[in-house]
Amino acid sequence: MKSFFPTTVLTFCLLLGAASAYAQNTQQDQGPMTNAEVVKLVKAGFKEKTIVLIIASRVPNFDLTSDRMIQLKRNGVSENIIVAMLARQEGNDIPASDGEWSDDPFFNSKLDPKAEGGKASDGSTNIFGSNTGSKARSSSRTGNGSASGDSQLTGSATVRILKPPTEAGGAGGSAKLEKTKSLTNESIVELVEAGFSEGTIIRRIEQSPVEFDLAANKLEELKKRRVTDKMIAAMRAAMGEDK
Amino acid sequence: MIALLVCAALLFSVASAQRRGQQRTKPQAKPTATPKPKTELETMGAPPPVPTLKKQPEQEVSPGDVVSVDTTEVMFPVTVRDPDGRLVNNLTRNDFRVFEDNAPQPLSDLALRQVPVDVVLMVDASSSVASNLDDFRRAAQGFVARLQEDDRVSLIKFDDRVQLLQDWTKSRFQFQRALNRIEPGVFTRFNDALLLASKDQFGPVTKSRRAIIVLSDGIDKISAATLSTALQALIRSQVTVYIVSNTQISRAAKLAELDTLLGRSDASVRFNQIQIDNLRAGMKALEESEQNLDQLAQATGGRLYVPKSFDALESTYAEVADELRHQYALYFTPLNKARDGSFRRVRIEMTNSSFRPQTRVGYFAPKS
Repeated sequence: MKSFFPTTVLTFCLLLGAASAYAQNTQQDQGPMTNAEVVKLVKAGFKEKTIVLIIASRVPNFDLTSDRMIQLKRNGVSENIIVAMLARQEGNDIPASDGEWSDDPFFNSKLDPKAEGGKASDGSTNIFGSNTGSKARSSSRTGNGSASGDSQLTGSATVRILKPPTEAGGAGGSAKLEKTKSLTNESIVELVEAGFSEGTIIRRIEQSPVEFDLAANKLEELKKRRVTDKMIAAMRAAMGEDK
Repeated sequence: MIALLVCAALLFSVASAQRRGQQRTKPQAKPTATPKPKTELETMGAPPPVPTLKKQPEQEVSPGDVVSVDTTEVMFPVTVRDPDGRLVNNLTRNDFRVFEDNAPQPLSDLALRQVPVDVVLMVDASSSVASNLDDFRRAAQGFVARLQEDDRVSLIKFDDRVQLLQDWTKSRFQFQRALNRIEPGVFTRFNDALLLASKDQFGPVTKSRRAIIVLSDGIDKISAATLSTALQALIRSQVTVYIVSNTQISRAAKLAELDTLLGRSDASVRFNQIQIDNLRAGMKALEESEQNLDQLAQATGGRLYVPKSFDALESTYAEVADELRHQYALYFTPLNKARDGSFRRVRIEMTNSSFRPQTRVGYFAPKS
């Protein structure tokens, strides 16, 4: 009994120290999230919705050209995760997908990537960050982003202060011009062949710059390569040919 | 007891290791200091002084004014206004005189042409503009509708990132789709955005006219590039920059708030002192930014527009489109043939001294 107590205390302290070090290191290392990190999480066996949660909480720096998306898929990254990456990269809401995870309260109430950008889903302005696990409401009197908001806060709140990238040690420093490659007939065929669903491909078409060739012979070729009528309709709409 | 001491020692060593790690990473975390741009801009020199002018009837440039292009020639887009500020568009090459480093350039090497323009529309999607993105969308759509068929446009959005939402296109429809892809963000990489646009979107000099129209208050605390670096890149790429600044709109909002706070009781003023100081500092920053933006625009041969409300964006962008339509592309072959990469100051004068030409301050000679 005598030797049991110090051993327990020692183990406890070691665990505590290690946990504290891990937590701090994790926070320090949080730069922009890349494709490689998503693949790592998938291969480490994280659940789909956990990975989406992580994507929603990190600054994105994904490469989502058609080739890279196909590479992600081949590395076992699910379409739901890729769609979340696309949405995050483009600054949109991460869509509630079909299936179990759309019911998760995280997707219904708490997840609002725009809140990070200063806009909460209720239209009120949340200047410095997002709030989670609380009923927090902040409104600006001037509407010009100055910090004069009236605040009502009940319950506990976790406020994530957004630092400029240079301060955060993330993407700051030298910037690059992020280009979204235009989708072409060939990239649509590649997405189909990689096994992406019709819905995902249509969504991609709707949200991307496009340079399709929709001449009659090209349309025939697309159909032969399993591009569906709905996809072709989306391609036509994206080219302004449906009007 | 020994176990506890060991435990404490371990915790201490972990904590010190972390502190060391933090100290090592500190220099990275420190925000990049942006040198005061005003001084740097001044080193580039102010644009040439502009005389006043008088109105002329409108007339197209005659085909006789078009001459063949020499490979060593440089192009200067020039806008000419009359004394009432109206654009003059009936001029011939004999109405212009060009000086490079104060040396007159022979008129025989001067030409006027109407050439298509490549325009990058840039929008600051940070909080100062984010709530008025729809106004920008409307104004941008109106702007492209006024361009000529051969003119090309592209769209860049910047906040803490710089994103090319639409590469060069002549399709107004694709441009409109790109406008719908703008999402609000935070922070403003104004200098970086200008630098990247000039390098990546324009690249080596071509025969086309080049312009950037940017909507921003220009207050930039996170860019790696300075305003001076951005200006040099813009001049190297021979891009004219038109800036639509929301500084006046932001200033008016801050002033109204300040008036309200100062109109309250002394106790209330004391209570709100921090906020009052912040508002004053914000107004000062806007004023300084506006001065820098004005210098930047003038140095590139462009103009600073300061609308009083976001409702006025449409008419402001229409004015820029009008200016681009009435811009002369003025070519001359410099007498100084040295390919030394040096900066050459260029001045344009008008035969009619009441006319006011507007062009960029100079160009960088090619380097072999």
